[in-house]
Amino acid sequence: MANLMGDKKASFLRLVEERALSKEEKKKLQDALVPYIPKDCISNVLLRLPLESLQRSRFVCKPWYTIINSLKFIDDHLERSESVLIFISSIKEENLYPFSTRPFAVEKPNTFSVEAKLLQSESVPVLVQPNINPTLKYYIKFLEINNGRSKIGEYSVSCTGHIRAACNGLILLENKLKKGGLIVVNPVTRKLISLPLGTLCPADKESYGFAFCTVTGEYKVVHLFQDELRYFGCEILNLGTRVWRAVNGPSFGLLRWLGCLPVLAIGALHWVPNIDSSDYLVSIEVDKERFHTIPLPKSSRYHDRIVEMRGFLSFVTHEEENQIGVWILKGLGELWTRQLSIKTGCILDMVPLYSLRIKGDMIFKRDEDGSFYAYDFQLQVMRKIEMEQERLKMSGMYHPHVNSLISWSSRERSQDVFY
Amino acid sequence: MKFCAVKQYFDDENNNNITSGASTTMIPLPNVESHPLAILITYCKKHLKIKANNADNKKETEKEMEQYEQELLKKVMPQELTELILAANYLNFKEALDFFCRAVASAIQNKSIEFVRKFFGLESDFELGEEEKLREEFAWSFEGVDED
Repeated sequence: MANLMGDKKASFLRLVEERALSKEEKKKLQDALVPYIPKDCISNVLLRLPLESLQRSRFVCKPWYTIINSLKFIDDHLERSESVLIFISSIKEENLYPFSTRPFAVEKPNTFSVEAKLLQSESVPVLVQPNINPTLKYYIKFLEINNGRSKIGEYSVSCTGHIRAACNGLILLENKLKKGGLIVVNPVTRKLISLPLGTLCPADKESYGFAFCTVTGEYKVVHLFQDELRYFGCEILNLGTRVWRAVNGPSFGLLRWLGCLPVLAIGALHWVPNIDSSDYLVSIEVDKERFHTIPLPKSSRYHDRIVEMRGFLSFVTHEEENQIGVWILKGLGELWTRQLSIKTGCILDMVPLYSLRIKGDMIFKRDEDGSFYAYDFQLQVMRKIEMEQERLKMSGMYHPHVNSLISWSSRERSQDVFY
Repeated sequence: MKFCAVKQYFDDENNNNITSGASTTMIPLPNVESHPLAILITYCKKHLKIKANNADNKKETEKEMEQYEQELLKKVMPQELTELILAANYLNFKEALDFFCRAVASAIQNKSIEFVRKFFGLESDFELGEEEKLREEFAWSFEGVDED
């Protein structure tokens, strides 16, 4: 009996040994067939993938997960990403039940709710969370303009408040659950963080700017607000420390209108101070946090705007004979130079909106019918954009945005890496 | 600058004052197989030729190169692309490297994770359940549909 067991054990052992060897041999064979590709070649390939594919590529293996989460990859990816316009669209506009007689809004399944995630992170138990009426919510979406056509992209993310500012892929959102509350979100990675309450102010008397300070490598939120005496105050928050600090606002009387979003270019945030006939800009340097004025080469009229163009500040203005002039300012303290005139296809109510950071086109939107136009600087042609939907249902304003993987803090990301 | 590694070799040779039998000098390229090397040489010659033909017109050069690249891709097997990337990387041939990376990116775009693993000969080293947990915790927007 014992002998039989011994034999069985021996043959079993031999079987296991054989299996182990062939597995090693198999691996050797496979290694010989498939060469090892260096990390920067993998990055070179991954950088070219659209975000859907990139998201899945993270889970191919741990080294790929680490590459995609690395700071360098994220920065390189940002460099290559094209500008889009981010906006919110009311959920009740997208009635899932078009034949119902009562206004009835239902949130689409699999929607990521910013407020729910925020409450979860603050450890508010689910049963106590307020049930927000979906009619008060918005979906966050973006508009891509490419080759004469537009396409709407969806993040499947919902929120309760308006987008106040955007920078490098991060957006500043109002948090309607908390009066005056603000959240910083990356709608692609869905990472978010709540900001402490700043100075409370009615929405039409304040403006937010969101900037990356290249000197210190930090993100800053600038809050401009007007009090009853019409003085402008200013407070700044660093995303690293998350504390509001008061700074000197612009001098009394300089800024009269907050209808335009500030533009970030050449190391500063710039506001156009008047709805019509502005002769200067009110600007704050992101690093030094000081306000000053920048004279404009000519008066900015109702449909004129400043636009960030490849890092420089451009002033796009309507001129006689249906032309549009483009001026460039390459740095603070330098002089405006006239870049060119757009001579064909200009219409008076075309308002310059933003420029495509990779392709370089300047995008305009007409006041009259909300149609979009793109000016190609190389071909020197103004082209009307074919819209995916006839009437774009949106609330609030369009913000120039870029879909990126950026996070505000490198410390936040260190948990995502395998060594 | 094409084939920078090879140029480097020539520069080093000149520094050592070896007689210029340039046409008969043998340059060892241990990490490059003959097949990808042949494709790279053809690519390089074609690129230079197209550039010479369209001396000032950059757009024309780009268009012609694109046409040539499309045709080249039809002849190359997807699996060979990884070898070509390695060869171009070793030889420090930037344009070819970018082109082949672009080709691989379009080959694996919108494909399932298994497909990508097979393409590169990789195995998942995530532990059981680790992958699921990470996917849930760090879910991004844009969940695409897996096709093969």
